[in-house]
Amino acid sequence: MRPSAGDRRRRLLVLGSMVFGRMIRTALVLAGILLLVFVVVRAVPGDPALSILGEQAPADELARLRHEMGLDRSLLEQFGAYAAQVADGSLGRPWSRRNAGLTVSELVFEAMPFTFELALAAVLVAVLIALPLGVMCAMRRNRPVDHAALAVTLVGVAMPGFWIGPLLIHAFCVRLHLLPDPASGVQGVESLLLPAFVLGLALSAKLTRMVRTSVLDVMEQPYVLAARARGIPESRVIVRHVLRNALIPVVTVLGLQFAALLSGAIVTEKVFARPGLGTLLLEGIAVRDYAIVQGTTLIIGFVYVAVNLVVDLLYLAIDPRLARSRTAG
Amino acid sequence: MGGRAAGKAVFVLALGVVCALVLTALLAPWIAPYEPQSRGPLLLAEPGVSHLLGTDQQGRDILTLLLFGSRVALFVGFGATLLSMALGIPLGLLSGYKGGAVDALVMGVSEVVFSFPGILLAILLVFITQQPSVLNVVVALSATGWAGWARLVRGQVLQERNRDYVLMARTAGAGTTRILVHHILPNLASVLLVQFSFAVGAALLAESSLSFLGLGPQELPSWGSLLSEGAALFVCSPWMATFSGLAIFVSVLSFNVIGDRLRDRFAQPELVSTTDGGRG
Repeated sequence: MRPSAGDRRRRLLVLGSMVFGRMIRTALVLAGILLLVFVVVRAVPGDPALSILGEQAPADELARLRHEMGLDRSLLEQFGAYAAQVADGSLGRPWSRRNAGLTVSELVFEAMPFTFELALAAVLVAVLIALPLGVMCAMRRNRPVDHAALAVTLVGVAMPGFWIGPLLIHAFCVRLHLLPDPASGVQGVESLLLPAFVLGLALSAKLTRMVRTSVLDVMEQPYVLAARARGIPESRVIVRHVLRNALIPVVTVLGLQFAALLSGAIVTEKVFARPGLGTLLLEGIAVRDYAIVQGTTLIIGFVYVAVNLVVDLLYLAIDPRLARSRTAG
Repeated sequence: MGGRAAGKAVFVLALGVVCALVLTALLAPWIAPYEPQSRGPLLLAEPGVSHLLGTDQQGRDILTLLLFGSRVALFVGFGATLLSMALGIPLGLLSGYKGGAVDALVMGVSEVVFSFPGILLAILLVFITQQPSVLNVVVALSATGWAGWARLVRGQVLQERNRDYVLMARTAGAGTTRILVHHILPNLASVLLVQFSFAVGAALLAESSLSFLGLGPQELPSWGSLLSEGAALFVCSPWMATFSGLAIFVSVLSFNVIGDRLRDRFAQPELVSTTDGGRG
């Protein structure tokens, strides 16, 4: 039965209000992130100026730095200044690179592509491992192959990237000379292989389990039974009927994991001496540059929320049942 | 049947590893062959009779450092998890049971905390405290860890609060605290136990990650910082990085195996390992 024009309009209205509600929530979360980062960085006891210049610093120099960093103003004024820096998109000026004339946001946007490239490549690695493995597990449910693959995923999740990273560098770059040594500073696809593998490994383990569960769920649906009953070959049933539906929840999780990978990238970038948001953050920490640390954290939080929002909206578009259930309810 | 027997054997093995770890942490000063800070003449020695796992660049015995490192790992693993539970469970109970403004506030704050993926917020907190100590690491991990517990418990309470036993308790005149603590909480025990196992593994890995980044406890040897030092010296001496990484891996794996097995046992497919928190 085709939906009537009134039905469609109502559904559109519900969809619109859901999107609007989601936007409002996102705005609130962004405000929360802004406040939390400020509270953590500025309002926690301790004197940033003292920690930058050290205990032995002369009082006038301390006072000058405090003034420069705005620390001699009230917390409210400081928050205002900080909010203004976020609003104008500069995120402040890095103390440690005063002479370069760059703003924190310029540094962040310079580093971002490297991290995004790594996270995307890691997602690709994870999908390439998880998709065939997950489907195979589901098809051979509770057989030895399934048990073995699930055991491997447990191992994959527990293996710290900062452990296998150096092991792989040693094997592939130092011993076998198959890939460029990260220390040589060579950029390009080859230099991305190992970091992407290391970062993608844990994700692939979780994703395999997800694909398995999702495929098993879908395989029990009547339309799959119907497809089989029509004599469609099993491989075609899996690809055309099962996978297409089983992948919807997997894609959602993948979207969220992409954002979560940004934090995993901090460690991976250190292991492989790659530029990126993590490296920028650690540099900021090493020289105690509050503006860099604050700006990088804020941006990673914002990206996480933005990706979350996009995934949610996409999900709404892919699966109209969500909006329909609201109209019915 | 073979798979099930193997699964049980692995579970028992994992339980054995965790018990051994706890014993090691408790008895480290008595079972370690050397003092943790004592420096011998042999630098970067290979594993041998006098130093079973070799020595580091300062001549310290790697086995001793690893034995003492288990103290930091377990203290942070259990400490951060218990503190997160102490904060998150009451908030989750209240949030799920009361609903309304309390629920909106708790879930709102937890959503903000969740917007800092993995150990990002912990990195920020440890950075701010300026002196990374064991206690600071525990507090930093709990400041983010509570949100997961609150969400988990809230979800469970939403399922439980309209069950007959709760309605009956309410009819009998039981107050909110009594219903939550005496009636609902005991029914969440299996869920909490499963998550506890995953959470300890995750916290342990998070501590190692922080230590690897140079933001872990400075006053005591920790597996992450040993791994970090070892990774830099990997070409000339792979032992330190290999063994410290192995210690982290086996410990985290054991906690996850236990959690996995308990989850299957209690049939709670929705609980997942949160190990990605500290993942590199």
